[in-house]
Amino acid sequence: MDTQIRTELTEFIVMNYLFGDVSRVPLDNDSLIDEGYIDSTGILELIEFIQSHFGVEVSDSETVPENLGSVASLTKFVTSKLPVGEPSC
Amino acid sequence: MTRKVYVDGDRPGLSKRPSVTCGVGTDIVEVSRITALMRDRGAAFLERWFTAGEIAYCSAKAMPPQHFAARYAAKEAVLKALPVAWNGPLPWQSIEIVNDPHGVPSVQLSGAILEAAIRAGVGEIGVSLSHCIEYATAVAVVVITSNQASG
Repeated sequence: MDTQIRTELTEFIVMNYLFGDVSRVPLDNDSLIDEGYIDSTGILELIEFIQSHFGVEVSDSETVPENLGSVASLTKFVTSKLPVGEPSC
Repeated sequence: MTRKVYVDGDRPGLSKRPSVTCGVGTDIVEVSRITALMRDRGAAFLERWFTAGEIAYCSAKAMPPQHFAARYAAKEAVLKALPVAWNGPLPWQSIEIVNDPHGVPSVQLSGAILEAAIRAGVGEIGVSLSHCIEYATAVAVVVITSNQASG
């Protein structure tokens, strides 16, 4: 499930912020903000995408870099929010 | 001809002023992206990231997305201008852009970001917003009084 979630998150980032350029795919631990993959509006879009696409609620206290800062942290966060054994959308 | 430039209260006959430093922040937002978020997520999006006062102010305008985008840019500009390494949750509800009866914007901090700003010696915050059809932008200037910062 981790792989599927990581793939879907990466696709969202590539299509929305990298003009579909797969050669620029961020590495798992690249900082999405500090290394310029997404901007401040992108953080809001990413949160809304996680909520609508994966069906998980992101509480205010969870909007921190530890959860949203990289593809790896996003994948871990989304995975932790999904019920065990439930596939993503 | 030479001209002496006086710095920070060194001019003869003037008492020395307290040292003051400033922080500056700016941000730019594509209005179309805010429009899309409003379209896709509706009131839930607005109520999450904007205060009730901001929603009321912007919603009364002819083109609300431009005004929401400008306020979001202003929130980001303020956060950039603050002398604070912010690693907490997104503080957008706690950085409120308010307008006086003449439409002049100002900033009201609350919660943890207010506490952090006070600890950092922030005195005043100024903000200016602008937008067109495609983009909204804002600049924030934070005045940091060294006496407060060191105290």
